[in-house]
Amino acid sequence: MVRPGNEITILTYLSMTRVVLDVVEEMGLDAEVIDLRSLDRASLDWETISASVRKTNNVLIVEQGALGTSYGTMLGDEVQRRLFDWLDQPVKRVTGGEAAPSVSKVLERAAIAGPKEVRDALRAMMTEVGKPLAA
Amino acid sequence: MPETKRLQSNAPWVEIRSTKADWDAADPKLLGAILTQLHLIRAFEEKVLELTAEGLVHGPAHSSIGQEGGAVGSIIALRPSDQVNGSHRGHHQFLAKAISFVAQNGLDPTQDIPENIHALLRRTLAEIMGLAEGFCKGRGGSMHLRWAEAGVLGTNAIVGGGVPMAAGAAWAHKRAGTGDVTVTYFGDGAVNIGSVLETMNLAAAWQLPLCFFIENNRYAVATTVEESTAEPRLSSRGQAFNIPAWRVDGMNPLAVKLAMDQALAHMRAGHGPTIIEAEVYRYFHQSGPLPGSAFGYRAKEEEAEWRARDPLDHVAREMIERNLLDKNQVDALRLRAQNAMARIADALTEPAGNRRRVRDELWPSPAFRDYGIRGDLSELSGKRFEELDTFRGRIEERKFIDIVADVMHRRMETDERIVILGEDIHRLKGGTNGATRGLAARFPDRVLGTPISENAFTGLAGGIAMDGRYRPVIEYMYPDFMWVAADQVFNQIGKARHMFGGETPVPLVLRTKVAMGTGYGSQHSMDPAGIFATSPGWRILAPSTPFDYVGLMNSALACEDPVLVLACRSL
Repeated sequence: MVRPGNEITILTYLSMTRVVLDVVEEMGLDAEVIDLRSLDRASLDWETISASVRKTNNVLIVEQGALGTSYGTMLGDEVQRRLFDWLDQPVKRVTGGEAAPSVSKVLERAAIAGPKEVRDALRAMMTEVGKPLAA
Repeated sequence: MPETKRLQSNAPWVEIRSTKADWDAADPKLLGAILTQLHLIRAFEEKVLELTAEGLVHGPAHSSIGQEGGAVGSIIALRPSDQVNGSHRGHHQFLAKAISFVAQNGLDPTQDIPENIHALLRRTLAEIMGLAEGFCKGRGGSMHLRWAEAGVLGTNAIVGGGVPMAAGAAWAHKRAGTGDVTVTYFGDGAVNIGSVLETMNLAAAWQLPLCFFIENNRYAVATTVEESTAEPRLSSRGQAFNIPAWRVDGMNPLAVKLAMDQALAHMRAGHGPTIIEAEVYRYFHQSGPLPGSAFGYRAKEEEAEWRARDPLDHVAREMIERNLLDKNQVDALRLRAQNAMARIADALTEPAGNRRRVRDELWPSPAFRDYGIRGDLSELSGKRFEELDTFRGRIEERKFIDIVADVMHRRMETDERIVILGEDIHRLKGGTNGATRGLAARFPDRVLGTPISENAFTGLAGGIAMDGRYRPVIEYMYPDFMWVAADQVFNQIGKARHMFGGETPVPLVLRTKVAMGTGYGSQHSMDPAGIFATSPGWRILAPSTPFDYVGLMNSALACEDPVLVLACRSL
């Protein structure tokens, strides 16, 4: 856990960890950020993740890459199976687009997740629990 | 008018035959051991087919009946510390090596079958039948048969799938300087697949003591060699990779042994790999107890022609001619082998109406299902773990990429088992990312720049890891290249521990970086975590800070399981 918080648990890894921390700081959001570090199914830190979700009741999984090969598919399934009763809304996910990124700079940026996608997701989640953020 | 000059390959390519003088000169003890092994294997394989016909062998039974000569002749030339691996059709190689290992003082064809051979045959049959007392606790069956102690690294269900890992074992032998070799057996069906061809190139480039033993039985299921390649003399592959090759009649075990002796001399002298193409014939169809002719892809006459060259009959004839044995003794040996197998089958089964079934208590427990997918991490106990916010040592700001190289420096300094492999890692001041900066200068024989052949060098690293004497770290320049090596990554490395019974460590580290955002496009921009997460044998580490990178890479290098360590281009 790299940043404590009470409203949302954000599970992320690698380069998106920094992105998430910056966005959360910029938004002044009371979010708990967990840098997963060990990603395989047997090595995930369920103690830390569960304690966090029991506290915040809202989960966002953030990754940079395309949807098809995404890591969050597995993680989202695990979270909802283990912690369904603690969730106020479905597990939300930030990923890249459907297709693998292309070479063109503009298209590549559109294909991968960045600060904007994280910001939008967090806003949507706060709205969903009846605590919409100021515009 | 242009001028042309004919070019030649540098590698010798010969056909080798035994002569009467060779048979005359052969040690009678050797011939006796060969004959005994042939009979034990034949009787064993017949029993397997019989049990298959009764529905007692679950899954396929790829019989090696007809092909025993190539296995026995080649393996009897090896020493106990040499190693072999094989394909889906590998009972004969498994037994030849295991029997040679157990009976290091030879086997007398006129004597009773020793108890330890009996136990070996039973344990092998048990494994094929999926029983708990088998070599892999019933998990592996016919196609994943492994007995590391005897030097049998494993049969393999993927055509050509075991060949890259055999190169890894050969690499370990070379580095250890023991003179030991690895022999990898595969068929005409495998000789055209990428794994085999890539490994031929890599083994030759790195002069590994690896024998590529091609069992050419002319058919890959129902497809002929002539249909599958424009050059059906399969030993010719050596010409392209500068590997000396021998072509030999695989139905003649002595000729095979003589070929192997020559190949061994080449390999043990450090001159690199060899190829032996042995012409053999499987009397039955791909799997099961029917002849191939029953399925229409070959003629009964052809089958009869090959049966007339049966290796058991050939060796017996040569021995009888030289008064080393008489026909009664040969018949007695045959009966003894058949009786041994009948007793073993009886011990594993019990009557069930007018048929028989496997004894209930011999099955593994269903609860054993997921045991040993990965290790228990006990190798990390007692190690020092730190977090940045409680770390009391000195912290300074450093570039991520420098830390990547520094950790490897430190680990290679303190652990001489570590070797690193990858494309260009030995040049360009640390490869295409700088991740290996300074390592080649400091540890020149442990930093291996590979040809572009992810499938081969991944499998090679897997073989090094399973050998256990060295700890390989491989780099993929881009994670997407995992697809090129997918069989080795997922079907071999990811499954090895579980598939062979749950006790085999595979301490391999795979390093790669996520290059999303660098403009390399659709085929270079993936995050591999999702796909690797589907393979339970792999551990995945993703350090997002240099501090975490140090600890996580150290953990990966200490871990007895395969670990993917991700870095990120933009960090």
